[in-house]
Amino acid sequence: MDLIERYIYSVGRLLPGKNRRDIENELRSLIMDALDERTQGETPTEDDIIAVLKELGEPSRIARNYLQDGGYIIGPRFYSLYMLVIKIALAATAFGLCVAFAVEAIGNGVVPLDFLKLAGQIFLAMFSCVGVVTVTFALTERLNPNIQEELTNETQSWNPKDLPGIPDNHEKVKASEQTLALIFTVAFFVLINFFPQLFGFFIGEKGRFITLIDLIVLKDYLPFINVLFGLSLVGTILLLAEGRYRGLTFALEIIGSLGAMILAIFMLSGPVMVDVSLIDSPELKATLSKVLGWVYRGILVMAALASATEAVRLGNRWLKSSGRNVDIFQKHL
Amino acid sequence: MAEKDTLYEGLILELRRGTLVLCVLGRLREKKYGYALVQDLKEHGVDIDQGTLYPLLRRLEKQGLLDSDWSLEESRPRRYYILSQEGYQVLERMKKDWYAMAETMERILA
Repeated sequence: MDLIERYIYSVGRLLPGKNRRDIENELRSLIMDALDERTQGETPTEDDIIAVLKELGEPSRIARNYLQDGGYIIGPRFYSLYMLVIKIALAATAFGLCVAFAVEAIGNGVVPLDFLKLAGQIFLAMFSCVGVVTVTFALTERLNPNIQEELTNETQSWNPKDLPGIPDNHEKVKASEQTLALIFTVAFFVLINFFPQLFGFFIGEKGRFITLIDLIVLKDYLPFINVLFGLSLVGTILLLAEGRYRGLTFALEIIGSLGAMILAIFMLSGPVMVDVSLIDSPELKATLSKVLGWVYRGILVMAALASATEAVRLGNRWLKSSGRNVDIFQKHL
Repeated sequence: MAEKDTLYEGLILELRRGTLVLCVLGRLREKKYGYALVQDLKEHGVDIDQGTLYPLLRRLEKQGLLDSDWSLEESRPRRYYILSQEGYQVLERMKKDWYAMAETMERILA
């Protein structure tokens, strides 16, 4: 008898609370029925019980049959995209932390223990990274109607005319390029948000590390930088997932580039984001302030020009791409 | 050879799986509890895995094709299943399709 209760417990443990009691009661009654049939009124031996339970099968299998949904976190629809995002996110996280580490190592030097710390950091960061991605995808899976319904609906409403055009040269996306772009975007985001003090260099005979970014000024710009970062992230992930440019991705990337250009121009007219307050010598301070001010402006001008060029280049590609022509053609159909 | 046998068994299992719902609906015009249905199907030559059948009964009930009730009148409480109104209609339609399909298969395999 003990075996029966252990079996029912093992099945019930895997079932959601709502119907668990009821299913357990039914299983118990069914097992007793099978035992009655087997022993014809005699007291069942342990062998009888084992035989009956074996007929029912492993607890995990029968429980899986009772569960209505597929019993998985991420289903086949999203699995390949999930794996892609996981790989990219892991690579970007590790890369970002290594860059941060390298920059800090140049600043303060390293002891062997630091490598151990870095390994630990990467290890933990990867866990939370996988966690965040998994939770996001699990939610996507739950919030979308189940695959069975989708299959039936799709066969009815699916129209071969909706098939995307084959990407031409203007729409093609190189996965390697986008992955690299993604890694650098994420690394830059991590650095500017969490380690802005690392932008700087050594100075003086003592080799002191001086932070050159004015953290107070940076704070004002950070929201705009992060919005652009978000745009770029969405664009890059879409490009990676779809393997091609289309109207939306072209628009996203162009808006991102124009945004970056406007921000750079805006920053040019704003205060210089260089902080030389930590420099002791007054003459050096004056010279540095002047030189770095020009460097800062130079970088911004270059960034604005590069962003503008990128926007124009993308706009040009969009105009020339056949996908756009197909879109227009379909509208006329 | 053993490998071929497993392959064959898999194919047959798949073929049978499709007829499972029809078997269950067809035998539940009168109310039965789970184990009685297993016995009944066995008598008719259908040996069904219990670990598949019992969850299937629940699923069909949730889909509205079966009704069920606990009966407390016997030696132990038993959950009885019976075709619902909708289940009847589905069964009738499925039967028609089944016979048509059987005819088609007959022609194909002739």
